[in-house]
Amino acid sequence: MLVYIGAGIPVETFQFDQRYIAGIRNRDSEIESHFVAYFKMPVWLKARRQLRAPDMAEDAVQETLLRVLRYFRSGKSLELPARLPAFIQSICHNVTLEMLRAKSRYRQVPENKRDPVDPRGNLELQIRTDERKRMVREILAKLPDKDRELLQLAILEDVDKRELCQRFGVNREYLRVLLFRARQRFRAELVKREAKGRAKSGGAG
Amino acid sequence: MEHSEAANGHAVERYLLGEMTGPEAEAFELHFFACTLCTEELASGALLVENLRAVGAAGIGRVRHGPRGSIRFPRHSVI
Repeated sequence: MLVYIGAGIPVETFQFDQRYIAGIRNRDSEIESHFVAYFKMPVWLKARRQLRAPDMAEDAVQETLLRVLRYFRSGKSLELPARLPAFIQSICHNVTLEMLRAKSRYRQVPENKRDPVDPRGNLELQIRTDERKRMVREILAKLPDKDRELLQLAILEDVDKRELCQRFGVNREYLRVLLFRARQRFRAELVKREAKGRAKSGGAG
Repeated sequence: MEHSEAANGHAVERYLLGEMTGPEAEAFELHFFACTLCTEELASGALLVENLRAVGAAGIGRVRHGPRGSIRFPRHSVI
Protein backbone atom coordinates (compact mmCIF):
# COMPACT_ATOMS: atom_id res chain seq x y z
CA MET A 1 0.00 0.00 0.00
CA LEU A 2 1.29 3.44 -0.86
CA VAL A 3 0.94 6.25 1.62
CA TYR A 4 0.34 9.51 -0.15
CA ILE A 5 1.36 12.58 1.78
CA GLY A 6 2.12 16.13 0.77
CA ALA A 7 1.59 17.05 -2.91
CA GLY A 8 -1.90 18.43 -2.85
CA ILE A 9 -3.16 16.57 0.21
CA PRO A 10 -3.30 18.51 3.46
CA VAL A 11 -0.95 16.46 5.59
CA GLU A 12 -2.46 17.57 8.87
CA THR A 13 -5.65 15.71 8.04
CA PHE A 14 -3.85 12.45 7.34
CA GLN A 15 -6.19 9.59 8.14
CA PHE A 16 -4.76 6.50 9.77
CA ASP A 17 -6.68 3.35 8.89
CA GLN A 18 -6.50 -0.44 9.25
CA ARG A 19 -4.30 -0.69 6.17
CA TYR A 20 -1.79 1.63 7.80
CA ILE A 21 -1.79 -0.44 11.01
CA ALA A 22 -1.43 -3.60 8.94
CA GLY A 23 1.47 -2.01 7.12
CA ILE A 24 3.28 -1.42 10.41
CA ARG A 25 2.50 -4.95 11.54
CA ASN A 26 3.80 -6.42 8.29
CA ARG A 27 6.91 -4.24 8.28
CA ASP A 28 6.00 -2.39 5.10
CA SER A 29 9.10 -0.24 4.65
CA GLU A 30 7.23 2.68 3.09
CA ILE A 31 4.69 2.83 5.89
CA GLU A 32 7.35 2.38 8.54
CA SER A 33 9.32 5.28 7.08
CA HIS A 34 6.22 7.45 7.05
CA PHE A 35 5.39 6.42 10.61
CA VAL A 36 8.82 7.44 11.90
CA ALA A 37 8.93 10.66 9.87
CA TYR A 38 5.44 11.65 10.96
CA PHE A 39 5.69 10.95 14.67
CA LYS A 40 9.28 11.49 15.74
CA MET A 41 8.96 15.27 15.97
CA PRO A 42 5.73 15.44 18.04
CA VAL A 43 7.13 12.75 20.32
CA TRP A 44 10.38 14.71 20.69
CA LEU A 45 8.52 17.94 21.46
CA LYS A 46 6.46 16.32 24.20
CA ALA A 47 9.43 14.45 25.63
CA ARG A 48 11.62 17.57 25.54
CA ARG A 49 8.99 19.52 27.47
CA GLN A 50 8.58 16.84 30.11
CA LEU A 51 12.17 15.71 30.47
CA ARG A 52 13.90 19.07 29.94
CA ALA A 53 17.05 17.37 28.66
CA PRO A 54 17.65 17.02 24.92
CA ASP A 55 19.63 13.79 25.24
CA MET A 56 16.87 12.14 27.27
CA ALA A 57 14.26 13.37 24.80
CA GLU A 58 16.12 11.63 21.98
CA ASP A 59 16.06 8.39 23.99
CA ALA A 60 12.35 8.84 24.67
CA VAL A 61 11.68 9.16 20.93
CA GLN A 62 13.49 5.90 20.20
CA GLU A 63 11.76 4.06 23.04
CA THR A 64 8.28 5.36 22.21
CA LEU A 65 8.42 4.54 18.51
CA LEU A 66 9.94 1.14 19.24
CA ARG A 67 7.18 0.29 21.71
CA VAL A 68 4.50 1.22 19.19
CA LEU A 69 6.14 -0.88 16.47
CA ARG A 70 6.44 -3.83 18.86
CA TYR A 71 2.80 -3.45 19.90
CA PHE A 72 1.49 -3.79 16.37
CA ARG A 73 4.03 -6.38 15.31
CA SER A 74 2.86 -8.57 18.18
CA GLY A 75 -0.49 -8.80 16.40
CA LYS A 76 -2.38 -6.24 18.47
CA SER A 77 -4.42 -3.53 16.81
CA LEU A 78 -6.50 -0.45 17.54
CA GLU A 79 -10.26 -0.50 17.51
CA LEU A 80 -10.17 2.97 15.98
CA PRO A 81 -7.04 3.36 13.81
CA ALA A 82 -7.75 7.07 13.47
CA ARG A 83 -6.82 7.31 17.14
CA LEU A 84 -3.21 6.28 16.39
CA PRO A 85 -1.78 9.76 17.21
CA ALA A 86 -3.54 9.73 20.60
CA PHE A 87 -2.27 6.20 21.23
CA ILE A 88 1.31 7.28 20.53
CA GLN A 89 0.90 10.36 22.73
CA SER A 90 -0.12 8.10 25.62
CA ILE A 91 2.80 5.72 25.04
CA CYS A 92 5.15 8.73 24.97
CA HIS A 93 3.62 9.98 28.20
CA ASN A 94 4.30 6.65 29.91
CA VAL A 95 7.84 6.47 28.57
CA THR A 96 8.73 9.95 29.82
CA LEU A 97 7.21 9.26 33.24
CA GLU A 98 9.25 6.07 33.51
CA MET A 99 12.39 7.97 32.53
CA LEU A 100 11.68 10.69 35.09
CA ARG A 101 11.18 8.08 37.81
CA ALA A 102 14.39 6.32 36.85
CA LYS A 103 16.25 9.63 36.76
CA SER A 104 15.11 10.65 40.23
CA ARG A 105 15.91 7.18 41.56
CA TYR A 106 19.40 6.89 40.18
CA ARG A 107 20.67 10.36 39.50
CA GLN A 108 20.62 13.46 41.60
CA VAL A 109 20.81 16.48 39.32
CA PRO A 110 21.67 19.82 40.94
CA GLU A 111 18.70 22.20 40.85
CA ASN A 112 20.61 24.95 39.10
CA LYS A 113 22.10 22.64 36.46
CA ARG A 114 21.65 23.94 32.91
CA ASP A 115 20.37 21.68 30.14
CA PRO A 116 23.20 19.80 28.49
CA VAL A 117 23.91 20.78 24.90
CA ASP A 118 23.01 18.01 22.50
CA PRO A 119 26.04 17.50 20.24
CA ARG A 120 24.02 15.47 17.72
CA GLY A 121 21.54 18.21 16.93
CA ASN A 122 17.83 17.65 17.17
CA LEU A 123 16.26 15.25 14.72
CA GLU A 124 15.30 16.97 11.50
CA LEU A 125 16.45 20.38 12.58
CA GLN A 126 19.50 20.25 10.41
CA ILE A 127 20.87 23.75 10.44
CA ARG A 128 24.17 23.85 12.24
CA THR A 129 24.12 25.15 15.77
CA ASP A 130 26.49 28.02 15.05
CA GLU A 131 24.28 29.22 12.24
CA ARG A 132 21.14 28.95 14.35
CA LYS A 133 22.79 30.95 17.10
CA ARG A 134 23.81 33.61 14.62
CA MET A 135 20.23 33.84 13.38
CA VAL A 136 18.94 34.17 16.93
CA ARG A 137 21.49 36.89 17.69
CA GLU A 138 20.37 38.79 14.60
CA ILE A 139 16.73 38.54 15.68
CA LEU A 140 17.57 39.65 19.20
CA ALA A 141 19.65 42.55 17.93
CA LYS A 142 16.62 43.97 16.15
CA LEU A 143 14.53 44.01 19.33
CA PRO A 144 14.35 46.91 21.78
CA ASP A 145 16.47 46.27 24.91
CA LYS A 146 13.44 45.64 27.09
CA ASP A 147 11.91 43.07 24.74
CA ARG A 148 15.24 41.35 24.27
CA GLU A 149 15.77 40.91 27.98
CA LEU A 150 12.17 39.90 28.55
CA LEU A 151 12.33 37.24 25.85
CA GLN A 152 15.59 35.82 27.11
CA LEU A 153 14.31 35.59 30.66
CA ALA A 154 10.93 34.21 29.65
CA ILE A 155 12.36 31.09 28.04
CA LEU A 156 14.16 30.04 31.21
CA GLU A 157 12.18 27.13 32.59
CA ASP A 158 12.58 28.04 36.24
CA VAL A 159 11.50 31.67 35.94
CA ASP A 160 8.09 32.64 37.33
CA LYS A 161 6.37 34.21 34.30
CA ARG A 162 3.83 36.09 36.39
CA GLU A 163 6.57 37.77 38.39
CA LEU A 164 8.53 38.46 35.22
CA CYS A 165 5.57 40.16 33.51
CA GLN A 166 4.87 42.17 36.65
CA ARG A 167 8.46 43.35 36.84
CA PHE A 168 8.53 44.37 33.18
CA GLY A 169 5.10 45.97 33.37
CA VAL A 170 3.58 43.81 30.63
CA ASN A 171 0.83 41.21 30.54
CA ARG A 172 1.08 37.56 29.55
CA GLU A 173 -0.33 38.25 26.12
CA TYR A 174 2.54 40.67 25.41
CA LEU A 175 4.99 37.89 26.21
CA ARG A 176 3.21 35.42 23.93
CA VAL A 177 3.08 37.90 21.08
CA LEU A 178 6.76 38.72 21.56
CA LEU A 179 7.68 35.04 21.31
CA PHE A 180 5.28 34.54 18.41
CA ARG A 181 6.88 37.37 16.41
CA ALA A 182 10.41 36.15 17.16
CA ARG A 183 9.37 32.64 16.10
CA GLN A 184 7.90 33.92 12.84
CA ARG A 185 11.10 35.80 12.03
CA PHE A 186 13.22 32.81 12.96
CA ARG A 187 11.10 30.46 10.86
CA ALA A 188 11.16 32.77 7.86
CA GLU A 189 14.92 32.96 8.15
CA LEU A 190 15.15 29.15 8.37
CA VAL A 191 13.05 28.74 5.24
CA LYS A 192 15.07 31.38 3.40
CA ARG A 193 18.39 29.78 4.28
CA GLU A 194 17.14 26.28 3.47
CA ALA A 195 16.00 27.47 0.03
CA LYS A 196 19.37 29.13 -0.50
CA GLY A 197 21.11 25.89 0.52
CA ARG A 198 18.99 23.86 -1.88
CA ALA A 199 19.66 26.27 -4.74
CA LYS A 200 23.37 26.12 -4.02
CA SER A 201 23.48 22.30 -3.97
CA GLY A 202 21.27 22.16 -7.08
CA GLY A 203 23.55 24.56 -8.88
CA ALA A 204 26.59 22.57 -7.90
CA GLY A 205 25.06 19.24 -9.01
CA MET B 1 -8.61 20.92 20.69
CA GLU B 2 -9.47 22.19 17.21
CA HIS B 3 -6.76 23.67 15.01
CA SER B 4 -8.40 27.09 14.97
CA GLU B 5 -8.46 27.11 18.76
CA ALA B 6 -4.76 26.25 18.88
CA ALA B 7 -3.86 28.89 16.31
CA ASN B 8 -6.01 31.68 17.72
CA GLY B 9 -5.09 30.98 21.34
CA HIS B 10 -1.30 31.10 20.85
CA ALA B 11 -1.15 27.47 21.95
CA VAL B 12 2.37 27.06 20.57
CA GLU B 13 3.71 29.96 22.63
CA ARG B 14 1.84 28.90 25.75
CA TYR B 15 3.19 25.36 25.41
CA LEU B 16 6.74 26.60 24.91
CA LEU B 17 6.50 29.03 27.81
CA GLY B 18 5.15 26.31 30.11
CA GLU B 19 1.97 28.29 30.68
CA MET B 20 -0.48 25.46 30.10
CA THR B 21 -2.03 23.42 32.87
CA GLY B 22 -1.65 19.63 32.66
CA PRO B 23 -5.03 19.05 30.98
CA GLU B 24 -4.48 21.99 28.59
CA ALA B 25 -1.07 20.66 27.58
CA GLU B 26 -2.50 17.20 27.06
CA ALA B 27 -5.33 18.56 24.90
CA PHE B 28 -2.82 20.45 22.76
CA GLU B 29 -0.57 17.39 22.52
CA LEU B 30 -3.47 15.27 21.32
CA HIS B 31 -4.01 17.90 18.64
CA PHE B 32 -0.45 18.38 17.44
CA PHE B 33 0.33 14.66 17.40
CA ALA B 34 -2.19 14.56 14.55
CA CYS B 35 -1.44 17.99 13.05
CA THR B 36 1.74 18.47 11.06
CA LEU B 37 1.15 22.19 10.82
CA CYS B 38 1.16 22.68 14.59
CA THR B 39 4.07 20.26 14.95
CA GLU B 40 6.03 22.35 12.47
CA GLU B 41 5.18 25.58 14.28
CA LEU B 42 6.14 24.05 17.58
CA ALA B 43 9.37 22.62 16.20
CA SER B 44 10.54 26.00 14.91
CA GLY B 45 9.60 27.53 18.26
CA ALA B 46 11.47 24.86 20.21
CA LEU B 47 14.51 25.40 18.03
CA LEU B 48 14.33 29.13 18.67
CA VAL B 49 13.99 28.59 22.42
CA GLU B 50 16.94 26.16 22.52
CA ASN B 51 19.12 28.69 20.74
CA LEU B 52 17.86 31.64 22.75
CA ARG B 53 18.95 29.76 25.85
CA ALA B 54 22.34 29.12 24.30
CA VAL B 55 23.06 32.67 23.13
CA GLY B 56 21.41 34.29 26.12
CA ALA B 57 23.44 32.45 28.72
CA ALA B 58 25.87 35.34 29.26
CA GLY B 59 23.24 38.04 29.60
CA ILE B 60 20.94 35.88 31.67
CA GLY B 61 23.82 35.18 34.01
CA ARG B 62 23.24 38.65 35.44
CA VAL B 63 19.97 37.49 36.94
CA ARG B 64 19.99 35.78 40.29
CA HIS B 65 17.38 33.19 41.11
CA GLY B 66 15.62 33.30 44.44
CA PRO B 67 13.64 30.52 46.12
CA ARG B 68 10.90 28.61 44.26
CA GLY B 69 11.69 30.05 40.84
CA SER B 70 11.37 33.69 41.85
CA ILE B 71 13.91 36.00 40.28
CA ARG B 72 15.97 38.86 41.61
CA PHE B 73 16.86 41.38 38.96
CA PRO B 74 20.27 43.04 38.84
CA ARG B 75 20.51 46.74 39.68
CA HIS B 76 21.69 47.59 36.19
CA SER B 77 18.70 45.93 34.58
CA VAL B 78 17.38 47.91 31.61
CA ILE B 79 14.03 48.41 33.28
